[in-house]
Amino acid sequence: MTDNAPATMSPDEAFGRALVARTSFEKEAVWLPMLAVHHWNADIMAIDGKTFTDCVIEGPAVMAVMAGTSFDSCNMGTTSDVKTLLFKPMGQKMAGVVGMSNCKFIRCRFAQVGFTGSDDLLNDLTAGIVRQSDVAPTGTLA
Amino acid sequence: MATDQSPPRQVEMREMDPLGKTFSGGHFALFDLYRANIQAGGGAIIEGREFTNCFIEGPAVMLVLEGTHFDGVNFGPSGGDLRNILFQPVSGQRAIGAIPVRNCTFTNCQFHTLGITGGEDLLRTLIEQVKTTD
Repeated sequence: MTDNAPATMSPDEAFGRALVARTSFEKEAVWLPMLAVHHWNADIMAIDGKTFTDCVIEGPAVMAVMAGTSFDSCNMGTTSDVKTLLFKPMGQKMAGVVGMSNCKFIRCRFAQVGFTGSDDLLNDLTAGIVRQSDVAPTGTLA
Repeated sequence: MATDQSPPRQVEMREMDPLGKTFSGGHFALFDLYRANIQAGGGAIIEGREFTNCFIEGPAVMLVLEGTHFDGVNFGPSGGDLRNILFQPVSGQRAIGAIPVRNCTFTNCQFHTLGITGGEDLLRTLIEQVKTTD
């Protein structure tokens, strides 16, 4: 006879797995580095297909904005120069960033989060982001 | 000088004093140190520390400020091109989202899933002097 009892999962591991399985977040504070770590622990290298509504997205982190990710009425950060949020990759790959694809951010506020991606993306973000101080409290991304 | 050839990974998790000046043999996430440093009143810049034989991981982009040096550091897998871990701050003045590090030394450390950003001179020096092997 053999012991076929399944290995038990630690509370932290169970929490991480549950977090990875979620597809929506609402009115929550999301610590982006830890969200990424839980995904990587589950062998998922990019966060995909999640919707964040009325959330605070916290860094420190640099988000790689990948295909299908959108921002609707978000406050990207309190800064007088939107370029301070942006990073241009020097190579063909990107290390150290949190990749997010097919994710939707609706009325979210970003704190200590930078953004990177293709040249087109960086140009769009530069053109579209409005400073928090210039608009109504919710902010707008054109 | 620094290379990205991979040494054996030391997997040691232990309690750290986020305000400590020296870190030896530790294994930690840079964003954890950053957050703990702020919460302990150390400010938003990791400054004046010596890291030796540490395994430091992300996800994070390190903003390398003045006085920071790398000696015998493995910067992690770069796919044969160190530029794959480097980022130019579009502003040139600030880099929100990156973790600022000033007057720190990293000796015989291994980085994993860390990107690097900073001034043009720093980025150029890293490209010129860091050997890649993967």
